[in-house]
Amino acid sequence: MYQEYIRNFCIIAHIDHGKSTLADRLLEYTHTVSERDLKEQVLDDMDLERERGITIKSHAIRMEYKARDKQNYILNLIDTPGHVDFSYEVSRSLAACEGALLVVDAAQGIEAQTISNLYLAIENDLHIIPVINKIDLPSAQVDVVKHQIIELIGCAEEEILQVSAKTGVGIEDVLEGIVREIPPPKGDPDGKLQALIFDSVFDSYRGAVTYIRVFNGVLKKNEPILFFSTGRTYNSDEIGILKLTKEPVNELRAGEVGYLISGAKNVQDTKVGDTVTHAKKPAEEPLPGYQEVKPMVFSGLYPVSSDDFEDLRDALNKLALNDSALRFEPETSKALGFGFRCGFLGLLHMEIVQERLEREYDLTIINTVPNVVYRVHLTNGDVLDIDNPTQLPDAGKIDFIEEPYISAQIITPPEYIGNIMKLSQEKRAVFKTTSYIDPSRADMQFLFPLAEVIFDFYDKLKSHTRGYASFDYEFEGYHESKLVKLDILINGEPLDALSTIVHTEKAYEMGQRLCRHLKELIPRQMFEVIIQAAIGSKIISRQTVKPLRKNVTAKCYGGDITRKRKLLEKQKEGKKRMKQVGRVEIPQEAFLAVLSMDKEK
Amino acid sequence: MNTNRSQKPGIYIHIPFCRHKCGYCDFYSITALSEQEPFVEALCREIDVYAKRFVSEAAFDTIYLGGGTPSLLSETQLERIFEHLRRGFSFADDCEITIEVNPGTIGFDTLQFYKKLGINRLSIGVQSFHKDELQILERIHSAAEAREVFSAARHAGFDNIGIDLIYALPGQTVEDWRYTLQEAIALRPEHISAYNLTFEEGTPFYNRLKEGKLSRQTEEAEKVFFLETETFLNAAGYHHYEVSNFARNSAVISRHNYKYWTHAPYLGFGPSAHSYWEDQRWANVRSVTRYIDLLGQGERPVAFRERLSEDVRQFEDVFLRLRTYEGIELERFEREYRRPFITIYKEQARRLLNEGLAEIIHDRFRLTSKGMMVCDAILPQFITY
Repeated sequence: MYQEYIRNFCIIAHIDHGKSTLADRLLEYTHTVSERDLKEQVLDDMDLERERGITIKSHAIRMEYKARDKQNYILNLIDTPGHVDFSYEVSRSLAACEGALLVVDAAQGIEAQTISNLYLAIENDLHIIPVINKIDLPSAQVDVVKHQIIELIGCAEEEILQVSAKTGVGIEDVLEGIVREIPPPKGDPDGKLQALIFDSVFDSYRGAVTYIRVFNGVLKKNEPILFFSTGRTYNSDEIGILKLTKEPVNELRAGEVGYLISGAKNVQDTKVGDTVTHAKKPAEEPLPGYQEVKPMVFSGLYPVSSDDFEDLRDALNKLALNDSALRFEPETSKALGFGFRCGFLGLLHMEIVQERLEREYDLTIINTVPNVVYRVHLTNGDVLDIDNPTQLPDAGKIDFIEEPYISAQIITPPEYIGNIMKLSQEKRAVFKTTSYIDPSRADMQFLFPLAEVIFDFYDKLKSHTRGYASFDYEFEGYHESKLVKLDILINGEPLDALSTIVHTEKAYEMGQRLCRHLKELIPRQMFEVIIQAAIGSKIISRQTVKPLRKNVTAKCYGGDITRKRKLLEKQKEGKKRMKQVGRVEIPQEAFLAVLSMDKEK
Repeated sequence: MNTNRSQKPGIYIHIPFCRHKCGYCDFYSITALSEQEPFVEALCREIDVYAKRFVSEAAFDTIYLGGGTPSLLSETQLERIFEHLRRGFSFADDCEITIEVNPGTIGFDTLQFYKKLGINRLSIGVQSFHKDELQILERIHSAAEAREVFSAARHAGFDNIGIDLIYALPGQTVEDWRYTLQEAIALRPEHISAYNLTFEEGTPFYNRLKEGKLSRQTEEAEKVFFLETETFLNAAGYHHYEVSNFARNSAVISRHNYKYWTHAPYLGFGPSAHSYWEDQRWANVRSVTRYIDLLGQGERPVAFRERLSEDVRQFEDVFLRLRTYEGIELERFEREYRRPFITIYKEQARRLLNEGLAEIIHDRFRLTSKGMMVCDAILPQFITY
């Protein structure tokens, strides 16, 4: 049967461990692309992704391979994003596969991010093929890495492949491994159609282009189809397979991977994890695992120049076509004017959106301190969900406040348990259990307030464990906390964009540190700038930015006026990132001061 | 201020030689004096090249020999340079001809020779009257030598002498500085340039500052020095006409330097010299040997050129003139850029006027003393591009 000759797989690797290079070699070896066609990394086609070395959005590509057994196989490589902000998307990509290559750098060994994705893969019942990459490096420690892998997944030493994606050594072994080890897809081509959406992108000519894996039944061209989560029906205008370009076909059968263009306008209508079925003979139920993606982190986005407000709206609308997790609605700040409150999956997602707005739409953006959604219970019995600290009602009206908690799993070598306990206490975590996966690996379970995790938790966890701990989390629920609003006043005026909600016990120290840090971030002006932190009407900290006393170049360098002019032009360039609040010019970084406080001198 | 300046063109000549390179100085010079002779030959060639191109231009009314140490040139070398200048260009009768001299490099005879050559203005690099300070600055002369060269110059008949001073030196007190000012005005020079010491990237002073071997004055202290200088020299009858420049009366402001600040045309000869002519600016190579080689090969020794767009020219106009106490003549500005200054810079002007950093007096927009002190923070606001 045809499914015997299909293999659907993905690659799990830590950033920089060579996922993209390995993918390139596989494509080359199977003549899917010629070397000349090969842009540096075929699978990552957004500039930003390439620079960050992170594959943010998944894609898929189909290879044809004649194996040593003389049979022709279809190998579908499904790419996965590599950051915990996108763990849901990763899980849907994994769900579309039967196997995964676990790629580990021969010099670096197993690192944190690899592990959480590996566990996701194991949860999804994928067959794992361990691969040690970069064996050509002088610093390669193949034996050490082998033992790490054996301990981690309990495979036999012989099962571990050794390759150098750079030089091409071992590529054929990888292809043979895929054919031999990864099970072919199951699924009933005669059953009712169930196709999993594992990715969805917006194309300005075609609307939403959906990447799908058919689990049961057959999807034919030009028939009415139904999306389970939205209940909407569309038509399968075009279906096809994914080579270097899209190649239309007439049908996709159970086990196959391809794309679908259905007339859906944007990615909000074609959600990752949703199931596509026939409108006339629908499947009884969707494939398991679909979740409504909910933004966890909110921040205000404001144009530095208020004239750019409409441009910002347009740009956000365009980004949302391609980013089903991005939410936004207009809001007004007293200090910053008109802007948008935006919801993101996490901090990385927020940074990506901000960078895309600046890079692709040439907008200069101020974003305010990110926060979670607080649930405020009022004395009159009403319950409010607050995604912006400035909306917090007066203390007198509040009965109590709840904040979101996550249940977190941290997997770490035992020597770092002490450090992690200390860090988690700082972060107000509730410790649950520690168990041992094996003698070299402890599994620690915590409840964390999400607000504490979105700030600088990853960086801290990394530095406390020298990068060895892996971290994964899911939303747990709302719990009551003692929280207050911390306001920042500039020359006596509250700067609403800098308000944060903090735990009562941390408020005093936070106010002190924030004022000190803002003092460093706000440049001196023609007049004195007073920075104060306040809880309600009580001032808890005060710092002063002294006015500029003297700032004038003595000489104009003989007749070299150009040099002086260029210096002034450079200064002006720096000012472009400043927002004028009243008389005071406040740089972009100041609005995120809370996030950079640890770098304070 | 009623000035006698014009939009007539000027000539700058850079003499890139020094016996010793002072640690703070950022101007281009070398100490290989053996290059002086081939340099002068190349310089004369450069003058000739431009003379042909600018033959029909209006009379030049300034020549400025700067450096470096122009007073290191021999009499015959100077004679040759002036010969080429006079042959190539026409000069106004009242042409201001300045040479920078360093105490300790020349005597009375040389000064008399300068006078004979037509030089009518001296700029003496005194810098300080304190022994310790001269040592910090790595000057090769004493305070006594500075006084000597000054009186020799008067004796030789120079009636337009400027002296250069530097303040806010590491460890300097305001009293120290007042002493230098006192000694300076005692000589009754026509012109005083008082520069705040700057640490320019690439200079030994800059490196020592970075290494923590030199300390710089606090901004607060620099402010005190700046204000003290103004108060002191005003009391002594000097008029503050540019950030760092003071003159006894309007007839003796540096006519040549004013050209830089008013977009008047000037030609610069010699390595690293800058020229400005009809919206074009260009600069020569910053290397004596390259300069000599290029001119030897019949090429112009130009390393950089730019044409100023109207926006850029307008910004330069504003920032250069705001560094002078004369400020911007609103009528001229409107004529030149076809829109009123106050319309173009409505927001900026309003803010500066409200905060007492600028004022409008006699149809001129100018910075106040308070504004002048933070001039560099103000000027970028006038960039419209």
